[in-house]
Amino acid sequence: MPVADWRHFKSVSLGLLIRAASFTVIFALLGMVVQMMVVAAPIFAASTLERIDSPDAGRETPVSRTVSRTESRDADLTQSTYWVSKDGWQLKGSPGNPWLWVHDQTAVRLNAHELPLDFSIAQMVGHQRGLAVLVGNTLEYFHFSQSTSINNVPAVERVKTVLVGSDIVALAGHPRLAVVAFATSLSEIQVVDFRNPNASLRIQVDVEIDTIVWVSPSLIRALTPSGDALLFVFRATDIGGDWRRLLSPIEYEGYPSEGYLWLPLPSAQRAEPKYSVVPLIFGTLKAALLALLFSAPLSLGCAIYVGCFMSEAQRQRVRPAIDMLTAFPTVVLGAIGLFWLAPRFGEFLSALIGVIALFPILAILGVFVVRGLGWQWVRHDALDDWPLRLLPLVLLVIAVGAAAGLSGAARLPGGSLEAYLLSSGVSISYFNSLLVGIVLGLAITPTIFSIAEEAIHAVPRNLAAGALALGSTPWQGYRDVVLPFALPGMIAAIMVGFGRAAGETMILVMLSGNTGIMDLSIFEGLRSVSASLALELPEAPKTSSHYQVLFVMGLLLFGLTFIVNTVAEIIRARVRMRVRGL
Amino acid sequence: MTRLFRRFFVVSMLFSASFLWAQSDDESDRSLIIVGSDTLAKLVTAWAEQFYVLNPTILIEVQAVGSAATPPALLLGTATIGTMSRRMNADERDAFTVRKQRPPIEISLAVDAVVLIVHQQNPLNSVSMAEVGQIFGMPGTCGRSMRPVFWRDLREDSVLADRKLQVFGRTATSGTYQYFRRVALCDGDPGIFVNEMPGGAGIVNTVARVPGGIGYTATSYTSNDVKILGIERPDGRVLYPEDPEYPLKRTLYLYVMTDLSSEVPSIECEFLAYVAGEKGRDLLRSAGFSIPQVADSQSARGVADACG
Repeated sequence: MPVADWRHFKSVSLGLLIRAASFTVIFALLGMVVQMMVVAAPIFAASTLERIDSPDAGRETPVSRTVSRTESRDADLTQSTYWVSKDGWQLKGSPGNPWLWVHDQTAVRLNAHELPLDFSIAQMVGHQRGLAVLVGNTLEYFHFSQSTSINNVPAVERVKTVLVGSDIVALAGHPRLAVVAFATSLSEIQVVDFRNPNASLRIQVDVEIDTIVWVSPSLIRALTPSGDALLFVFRATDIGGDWRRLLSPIEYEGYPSEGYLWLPLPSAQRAEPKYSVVPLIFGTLKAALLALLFSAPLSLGCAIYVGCFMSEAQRQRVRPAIDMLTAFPTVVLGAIGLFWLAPRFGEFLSALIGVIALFPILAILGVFVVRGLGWQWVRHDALDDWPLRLLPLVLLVIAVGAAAGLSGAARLPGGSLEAYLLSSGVSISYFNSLLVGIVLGLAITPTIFSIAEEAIHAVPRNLAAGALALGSTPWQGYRDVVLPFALPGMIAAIMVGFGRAAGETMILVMLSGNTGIMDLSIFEGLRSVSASLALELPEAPKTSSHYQVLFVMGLLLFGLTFIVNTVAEIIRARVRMRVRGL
Repeated sequence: MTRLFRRFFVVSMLFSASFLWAQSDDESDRSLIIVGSDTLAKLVTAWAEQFYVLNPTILIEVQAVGSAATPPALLLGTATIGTMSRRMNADERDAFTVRKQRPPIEISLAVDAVVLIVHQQNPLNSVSMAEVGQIFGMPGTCGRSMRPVFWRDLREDSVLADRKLQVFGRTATSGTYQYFRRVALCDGDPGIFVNEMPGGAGIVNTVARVPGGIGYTATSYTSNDVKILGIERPDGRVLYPEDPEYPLKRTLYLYVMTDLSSEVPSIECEFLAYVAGEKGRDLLRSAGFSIPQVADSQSARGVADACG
């Protein structure tokens, strides 16, 4: 084979190989996204109720725990016990009589006046955490909270009232969710979800039903007076087919007001699982924005310096070094934050404030001193490395600023910044958002620098040279000619940095405290989507609503970073096109 | 960090593989994989090391991921022994029973106390269980009461006065978290303001540095850098973890995947016999645990005797 042919063959096959590899990667990514969607989709499924004929069909779910309480319907008029709290308070009631709290040891009796007197049927619901009471044609759902103190009667609170159309003959509470199933006198089986009462499910059966029982969380057995059993399968997610429970403020059981809570409680038995993704999205955005606040001035300043003022030889050395930092493992940064920065956060903050406050003044002063002494390190008429010679001066200014900040903090009333803030009512949490923002900002600085510097460097140097030739100073030339061209690229760089900060995990797991609070204060902790995924996904049961919601959040995070990165990439491509014409 | 290391800490790696290859081939499958609780990690690792020294032909691998990892690991056969800092719940037990046609073998391994810790210089010495519920739970758990935000809300004369309570706890996958939630928080919601730490050691290290910090952790993690709080009973007596009546005591469990009733004595039996023996018990006590008083069918001794 001639050499030329071999070369041609090689380049063609290499090209094919590269194309095949990139398509494989793209399809694998697409496949993963589709897979994530498939996993996450069932969370949005509406609840269903269907009748199954064969009694064997119910075996697919482990028939283990029968809610025996529901089997003995309270036809007799003796007071039956509905609930026993951990410290011995028993809730007793019977139709027509007042509800009573009776303590089994002290025999103290108290009226439970929150509960209605004239009820006909009552059933415990949702793993003993609530009580469904039928009064006439309305179903009322009450929530209990236990109490540890012996004098504290468990708190009872009405959560929902649902009007049902027809007479109820039998009622049973779901073993896990705030859901009841009941049979009406019109031979109808209905399931009402107290979280989403408008979407009640009903099935008409042709026979009279007099008993209804939850066999398992997904199986209802209804009995006719002659003893025949009918089986119904009920499927519901923990959000009851209502996607708003992920995003809207929810009035949770036992809580005085509406709110957003992320408390999935994997092994929760007696508390309602709470899946609001809002606190986590809030935490992610808060961390990413704080990181940008810290990182953007640093990285853009650095990029402007390297792109505009550094000689090509210097730049060739500096750029790869900073690009290397992009690959710096964030877990190491997290560890530095955890073991070095967090314990001395107050001092670090005082020093940082000192540097930021004094840097402009000291820098200008320093330049005057240097020029006043007549040293010839500074020339402002040529594009060489003159600013690099200012490095010792810059380091000195930083050191002086930090020292001033530290000594200033020591002179504050209280002796330190923390004590001063404390006396003015601000308490700094050990794991706080500002700490996360600083470390995360350091993590994304090389990324932003790299892209922004590339954008600045792509602007032809002859533009700046032309401005210089027309008599402008170097700074005027860069400010008015080069930077406007590079601005979209710099915005793209910030967007990519934002995307990286939003997706970053290890730093957040280690430093954010993982507290799901929504507090604007920079001295409080936060919980991000990525940290929640890292902490909870490995242990969440594969078919649970918790697992599905985590995948929904994973997709949200993917969507956010994908959109931000795509927009940034489009901006960069357009800038490149524009610059090419020059 | 220690947890990350421990997660993949393979005891067998400490010894050269060539030494093992020198053994006969038919013994190459004599391995024991122990997965489970972070609370028990130190103890199980110590056991595994000593057991390996006594029985160098048996490979032991220890992974401490958290109690929630045990049931799936036993179910899928990726572990032969699992440890848990809580009892398997009904769902986990059902899943195992359905798959294996028999319930898992459950052994009450050790008794451990969950302790409340504060900074060494915190003047607080004891709290009541009601206060524990207020500090660590959402407002409303254990009766409707306000959460103490500042230390003066908890003790009016506290020198920490205007400092906020910084609350540290475990992540939801931990058995300690679930136990604490059930017993101290009346099965209610843990506070969203609790800093969730992936490991028990992290809580101790952090509370040791934070003057306004308070946290809960297993006894085995505590160090001299933190102060252990007593728990006040309603009658005024203060109980410490050493007291038998201390309210936050729990049993830690060990589960065996394999059926031990076969004729051939299995490695699991050898390991249980070692654990129940003098050496195993010594390590258990020195790790800060105590031996539970249970029926033979539930104890390591009883199960080991029955199969050996």
